[in-house]
Amino acid sequence: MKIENIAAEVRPRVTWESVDLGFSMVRHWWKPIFLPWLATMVPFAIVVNLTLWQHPWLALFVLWWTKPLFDRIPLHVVSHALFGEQPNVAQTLRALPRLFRFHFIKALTIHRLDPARSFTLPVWQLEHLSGRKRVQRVRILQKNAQNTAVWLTAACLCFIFIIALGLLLLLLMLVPSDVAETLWYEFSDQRSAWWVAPLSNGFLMAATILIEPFYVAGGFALYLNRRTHLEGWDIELSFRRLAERIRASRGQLATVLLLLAGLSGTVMLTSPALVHAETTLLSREQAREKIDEVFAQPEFNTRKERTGWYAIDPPAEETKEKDAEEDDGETSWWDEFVTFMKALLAVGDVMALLMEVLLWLLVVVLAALLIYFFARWRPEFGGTRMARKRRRSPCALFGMDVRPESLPDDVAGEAWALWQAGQTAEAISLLYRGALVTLIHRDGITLASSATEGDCVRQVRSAGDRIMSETTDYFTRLTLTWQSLAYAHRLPASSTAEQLCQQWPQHFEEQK
Amino acid sequence: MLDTSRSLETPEGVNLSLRIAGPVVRCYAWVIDQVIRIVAYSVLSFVLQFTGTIGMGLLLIIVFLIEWFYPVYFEVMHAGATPGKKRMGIRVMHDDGTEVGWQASLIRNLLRTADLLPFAYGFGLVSMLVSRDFKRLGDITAGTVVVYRERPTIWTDIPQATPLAPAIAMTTDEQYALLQFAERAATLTEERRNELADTLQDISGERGGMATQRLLQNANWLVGRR
Repeated sequence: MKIENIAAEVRPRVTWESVDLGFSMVRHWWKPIFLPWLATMVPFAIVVNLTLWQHPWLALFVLWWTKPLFDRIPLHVVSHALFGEQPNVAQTLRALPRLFRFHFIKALTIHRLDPARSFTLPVWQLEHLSGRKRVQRVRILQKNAQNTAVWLTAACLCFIFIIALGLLLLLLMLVPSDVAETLWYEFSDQRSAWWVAPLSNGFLMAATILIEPFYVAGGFALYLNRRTHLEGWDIELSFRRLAERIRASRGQLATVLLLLAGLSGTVMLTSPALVHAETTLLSREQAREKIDEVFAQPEFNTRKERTGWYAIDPPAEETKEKDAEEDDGETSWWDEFVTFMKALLAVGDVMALLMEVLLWLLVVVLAALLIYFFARWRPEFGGTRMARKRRRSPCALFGMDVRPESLPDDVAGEAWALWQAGQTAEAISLLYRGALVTLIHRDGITLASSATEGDCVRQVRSAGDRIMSETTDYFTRLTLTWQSLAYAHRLPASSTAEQLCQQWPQHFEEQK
Repeated sequence: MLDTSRSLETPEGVNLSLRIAGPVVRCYAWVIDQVIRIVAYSVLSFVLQFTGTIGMGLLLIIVFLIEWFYPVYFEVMHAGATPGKKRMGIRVMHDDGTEVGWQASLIRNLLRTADLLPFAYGFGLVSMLVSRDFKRLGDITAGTVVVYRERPTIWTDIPQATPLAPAIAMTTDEQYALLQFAERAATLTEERRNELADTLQDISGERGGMATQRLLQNANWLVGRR
C-alpha cells in the first residue's frame, strides 16, 4: 500500500462525507466489483435456494447469515483499486480461497451481529490483525466512526427492503390488473403458490446484491477517513509533493539559494520556480509603487469615449448669476423662455389641484354609492332577521293578494257561493289564494315573491313531513285546476269545483 | 482523482468546491423531516377533532399544504435546508452553487411523486446510486444538488514555538499542509509526527523530534507570530 498511488482525493472528511466517497468508489469501479461479486453470489444463492427449496425462509436466512464472507470480495477489489492495483475478475476469483479462509468461523459466529461490521472488516482483512491487537486497534479507530457505521448498517438494511419491495410493486404495476390481483392474492395468502417463495427470495437477493457493495465500500471509506484523521495522510501526501518539488528544482538549478536575512526573517527569492509573493515583505512605498503599477495595466485602465446628452448644472442659478451680472438689463430669450416655463408650471399646478379635487369627489361619490347599494341589497345578502321574515311571507304572488287579512272567514263557503253565482274564476281563485295563505302562514312554507305556481307545488312537495301527503295532492289538483282556468280558460266540471270546495276545509281550515 | 466534491470556477476566478451529499445522509435527513411532519399532523388532528367535519376538511388542507410545501418553504427561506437537512449538516443548492430559488425548489419537490415510486423513494434511491452527483430525479430535473454545509474554519491554537521563517518559499497549498500539520500535531502519535516531519528532511535539515520542532516553528511564523 503506497499512499502516493491513492486514486481518491485525500482530505479529512466529515464521517458522512466519507461514506459518500465509498459509494462513489463503487460507481467508479462498478465493473471489477460487480462481476466477481455476481459470479460468486448468484450461483451460491441458487444452490442454497435449490437445496433448501422446501424451506425458503431458511434459505433466505442462510444467505443472510453468510453475507459477511462475501463482503470480502468487494472490499478486496475496492481496497486494491484505490491504491492503483485494480485486480481483474480472474485475479479476484483466484484470491477467493484466501479471502474466505481468513477468520472463517469468527466471522460467522461472534462477529456476525456486529452492527458496525462494515467498519471493522477492513481492520481484519487489510491489516491482518487478530486477537487482542485487533480489539485494541478497533477501539482506537472506532472512536467517532462507530456511530456512523451503525447508522450506515441500518440505512443499507432499509435500502435493501426498499429495493426488494419496490421490485415487487413494480411488477404488480406493470402486469395487467387481473394478473396483478392474482399475484397480490398469492403473495398475501399464507398457503401460497409454489412460485411465491422463489420470487420473493429472488427480489430480496437482487436488492442485497445491488446494495451490499455500496455498504462495504461505505464502511471501508469510513475506515480510510479515520486513518486519514489519525495518521495525517493528507499531510503526508502534501509533504511528499513538496519534498519532490524541492528536489526537482534543486536538480534543475545550479545554485541553491537559501537566504535568511537576519532577525526580520525576510526571505529573498531568486529562483523563478520558487517565487511567491506571500513570503516577500514590501515596505509601504514599495507596495504603493506596485499597486500603482498594477493599476496602470490595461485591465484596470480602460478609457472609453461616449457621446450623449447630459444635464448640466441647474439653469435657475445660472440665470440668477447672469441677472446679477447684467444688472437687470434687457430680457434675453433665455429669460423669456424661463418665464414661459414658469407660467406653464403654474398652469400645471392648477391642473394638478383640479385633478386632485376631482379624484376626491370621485372617492366620495363611490363611497356614497357603496353605502347606498349596501343598504339597498342588504336584505338579499342575508340581511336582518326582520328583512328575512318579510321576504319569507310575500304580500302578493303572481298578482294575488296573499295577506291573511284579505281572506274571508269561511273561504270554502264563500267560494261555493261565488261558483253558484257564476263567478267561476273568482271562486277557484279564492280557493287557491286561501290555500297559499294557509301554506305560507300556518305551515311556514318559504315562497319567494317571484315564485310561479309550479314553484309553489314543488316547495310544498319538498316540505316533507310538515304537510300531509293528502294535502299535497289536494293542493296539486287545485293548482292544476286554477292554472287551466286562469291561463287556458277551461272551466272545470261543476262536480270538480264542488269537490274542491268541500275538501278545502279538511286541508286548510282546521287550525285557522 | 476520485472525490465527492465538485469544484466550480466563478467568472472572477474564485474556486468554489461543493461537497456533494449522498443517499445515506439524505435518507436520515428525510426521516427527521418526516418525523417532524407526523408529529405536527398528530397534534393538529388531535386539536381539530373537536371541531367536527370542518376540522376534518381543514386538516386535509393543512396536510396537503405541509406535505408539498414544507420542503419548498424551508429550502427557499432558510438557506436551502429543511430542519432535517440542517440537523444532518446538508443543504440544497443550484448546480452552479447559487442559493436555491422558488422555481428549482418547487420542481425538485413536486417531482418527489416520481422519486417515491415504486415504494419509499425506490427510484430516487437508484437514481442517487447511479448518478454522478447523487441526484434523485427531482434534482436532475431542477438542476440542484444537495451539498454539505461549509463548516466554519476552526482555528485551533497551534503549539507555541519560536517563530522561524521557512527555508524555502511555499505555495498556498504547501503552507496549508504545514499549518494542518501544526494544528493536528496533538492528535497524531509522536512516532507518526516525527515520521511526517522526516518527509521534509531536505528542507528542515533535521530529523526526528527536531524536525517536528522546526516545522512547528515555521508554522508559528506562517500564522504571523514574530
